[in-house]
Amino acid sequence: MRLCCLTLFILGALSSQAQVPGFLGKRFTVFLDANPSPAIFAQSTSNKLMVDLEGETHAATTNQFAFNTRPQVTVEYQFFKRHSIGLSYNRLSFGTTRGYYRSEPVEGQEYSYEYDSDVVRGDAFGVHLKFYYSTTVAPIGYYQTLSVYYSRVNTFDDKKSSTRQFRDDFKYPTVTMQLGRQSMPLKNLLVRAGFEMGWTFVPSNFLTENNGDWSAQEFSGYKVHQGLMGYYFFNLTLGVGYVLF
Amino acid sequence: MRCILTVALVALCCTPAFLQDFNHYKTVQSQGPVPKDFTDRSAAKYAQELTNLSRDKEETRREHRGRKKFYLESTFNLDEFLGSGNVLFNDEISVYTNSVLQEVLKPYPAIQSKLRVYTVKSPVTNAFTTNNGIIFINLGLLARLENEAQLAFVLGHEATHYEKKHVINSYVNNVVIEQSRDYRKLSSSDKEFAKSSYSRELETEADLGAIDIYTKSAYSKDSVGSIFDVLRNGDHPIFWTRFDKRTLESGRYIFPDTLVATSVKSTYPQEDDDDALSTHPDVRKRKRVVARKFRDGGPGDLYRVSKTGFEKVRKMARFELCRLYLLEHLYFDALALATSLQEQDPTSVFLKETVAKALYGLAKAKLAEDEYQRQENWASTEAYLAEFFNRQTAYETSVTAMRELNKCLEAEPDNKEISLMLNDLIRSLAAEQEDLEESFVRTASEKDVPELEYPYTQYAFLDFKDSNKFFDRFDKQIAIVRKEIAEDKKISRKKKKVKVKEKPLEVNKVVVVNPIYKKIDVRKKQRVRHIEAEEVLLDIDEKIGVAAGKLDLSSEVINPNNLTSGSIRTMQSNSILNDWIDEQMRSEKLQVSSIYNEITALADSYKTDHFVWMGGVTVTRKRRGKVWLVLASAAVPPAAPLLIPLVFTPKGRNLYFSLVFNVRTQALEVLDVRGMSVRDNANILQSNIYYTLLKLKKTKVKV
Repeated sequence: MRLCCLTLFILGALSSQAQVPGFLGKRFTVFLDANPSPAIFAQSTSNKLMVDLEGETHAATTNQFAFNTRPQVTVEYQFFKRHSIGLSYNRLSFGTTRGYYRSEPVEGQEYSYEYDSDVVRGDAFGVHLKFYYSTTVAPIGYYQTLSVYYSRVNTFDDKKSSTRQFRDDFKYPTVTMQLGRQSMPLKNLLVRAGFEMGWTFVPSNFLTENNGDWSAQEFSGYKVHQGLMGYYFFNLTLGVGYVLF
Repeated sequence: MRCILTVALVALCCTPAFLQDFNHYKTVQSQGPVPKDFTDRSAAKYAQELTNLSRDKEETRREHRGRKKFYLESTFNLDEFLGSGNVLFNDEISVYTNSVLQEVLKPYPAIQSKLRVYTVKSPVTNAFTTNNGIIFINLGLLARLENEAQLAFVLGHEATHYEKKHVINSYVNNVVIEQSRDYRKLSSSDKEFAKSSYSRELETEADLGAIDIYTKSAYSKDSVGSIFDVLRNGDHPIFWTRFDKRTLESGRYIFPDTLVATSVKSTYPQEDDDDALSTHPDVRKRKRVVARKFRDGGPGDLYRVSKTGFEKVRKMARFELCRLYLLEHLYFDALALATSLQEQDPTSVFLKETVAKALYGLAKAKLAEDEYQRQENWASTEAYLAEFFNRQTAYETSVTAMRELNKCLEAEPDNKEISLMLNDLIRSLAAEQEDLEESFVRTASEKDVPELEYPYTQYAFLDFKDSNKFFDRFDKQIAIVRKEIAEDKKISRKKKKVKVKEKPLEVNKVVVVNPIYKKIDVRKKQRVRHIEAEEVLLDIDEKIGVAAGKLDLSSEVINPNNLTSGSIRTMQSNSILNDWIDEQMRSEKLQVSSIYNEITALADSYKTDHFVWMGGVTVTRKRRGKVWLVLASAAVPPAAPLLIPLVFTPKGRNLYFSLVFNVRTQALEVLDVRGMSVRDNANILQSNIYYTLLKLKKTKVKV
């Protein structure tokens, strides 16, 4: 049924005579974005950090060229002359550090845990509103985007592992704001570049508490929170798009 | 050759298009196949010039570069001028001037075959030539000439400029002066002096060359010196009669004597003969040189081609000047010239309308308190005319104008342009004067209106053929104004937004006129990128067609860059539209165009009232702070993909503009100006065109 509706919609859009905004009346655009972000707040899947802000890398190492990416597919529909609405799907992946005990801690005794590098993987669905600046001829020119993502991640031992290490997925919303510029070097082909800043609504324990008070499990969980927040906190936008119809 | 030209002239004069009826004068227009000067691509012309460009042994590198630059600039600027709509070809005036050129250059067949004359719709007393053999002669000059011999001398002068390559030599000389080491140290007047002294030398040389050409011609040597008087008086109005206020009076409508000046300046002040900063030598010096040469006179004729031809062409030029003066809002000049011409053609409807339109324009300007409309610099007999209208108040001039407009309307009841002007003037005056409807005696038996500031004006509308018809119109227009004022007051009293009923414009067709595109690259020595811009303009018709097609609009493009020999309609339309838009840009307040009938006839022929003027300017410049971009990329490597491309790409900035006019209502329907900080490309231009047309399609107007 859904496929049928979509087909009818596409055929209708293709056959209609456009008297609407967009590039020559074409309002439907598909984008593929890389969204590279410097691995400052979240280590990369190769377990690299660009700079070690906390002074203790645990299982990670530092590398100036370390970065994460967030591949994203976006569909956008321009509903006014300078406004678009869009849906996006992201694949998330970044590194994290897991704490584990060599031996089970005994109550009342001091205990310590070891660190191991893990990979956080998951996906996110997003919805966004896009505002083109007044000097643009949308979809060409400068724009600003406000997005809300719903992310669902879990940790895995390595990039290829399929065994979830937490019983329940981490599910958190994120809001982001993106500023960028779209240009059209070839007919219907769009290229965009810009940057995006975001805030993920995760528990803020890792900001207010000392990790010496945490158990290995708490450490592992809070590290995922920290990574998820850092992953969205700042990233660049690099993408290509195509104006469909 | 002469024979062929004479036959051609006779044949063309017999063509219906050339049958000029001075009673109902129609503006002169280009005819026949479009000459190659107009149709050839500028880039191709430039390439041709470059292939002919050889470097002389004595020429310095700077001079050679100057010549190259000259060819580029002159080719493209000349073509822009040819496409502006101001240049006429194959019309009766150009055909005649060409035949005079052929006549005077008979002993010089080599130059004769290379030169051609086009007429320029300009009131300025001037003629000029180009490096590729085009002589432009302004209507302003033709209208002032006394005989064909004078025209022959002017053309001989211009032919010498061509033969001696003065245009390019002057340009190269200026380039060399500007690039010389000491140039920057000179004061601005010294810079002018350095350039103008060479220009004066060339003018003197052209005068001497013209004397040689003229001497060998069969023209009379007696009266040629007087051409310099024509040039000297070039800024004065063309007026050869006496202003008589009685021509505007009738019945009891008699102007008070206080409006008539008793004395005026008898002559214009003599200009200083110091020509140090002028591009031309002082006229008196030039006249002396010519007079010395032709001291003893000599055999020859004042007219070699045709006396009647000359007189007709001069008359046409003068009638055209009436139109041009109105378009340029030079109402005093229009009044002076039309009044003089009425001496010869007292029944000419065109001249009566010119007077009425000039008075309408003058009245509107006075009502708008436009101080520039006072004419205080005139002397001699024309000063009486100027002083009369200077002394009239806005109210008095408006009443006079309404009288003249209504008289024209009585003679030609279907004249839409005059009807609109009359309505507009009544409304404008009613908005200024609350008791306007009570300020006039309506029938001969009616009592006088007491306590009027200008009592004579009350009789203004008594002696029409049908005064009732006039007063019906008068009352109707006043009622419209009163209603509008009452509604405005109501709205401002309520201080809240009133919902205005609107409907879409329902545009089905647009005509894009003379699109403009300029490309500037400040990184390059030759900053104005003519060739690239021309390529864009050649493709623009297709882009407009695509955008209009998407919006279900039909479109036509009047693009002087895409002409063929059969594009005569395009050139004719371009000429009228160019006149019309120039006038619109000159008008601060909405007033009925003096060529309203011409433009609406054009709109009818194109089957649309919506005409678009659009253009774009793109500037490419060097990106600054590249070092910082590299450093930032090194400091934050993931940002490199974003920053490094910027190091290698220049900065771009574009400005696009579009004006969509409804030529029938004269309303500016869409004004679209967009500045974009991106490098221009075909898609951005395409998108801008689309958005302009979309805006037009979505525009709503009050019901």
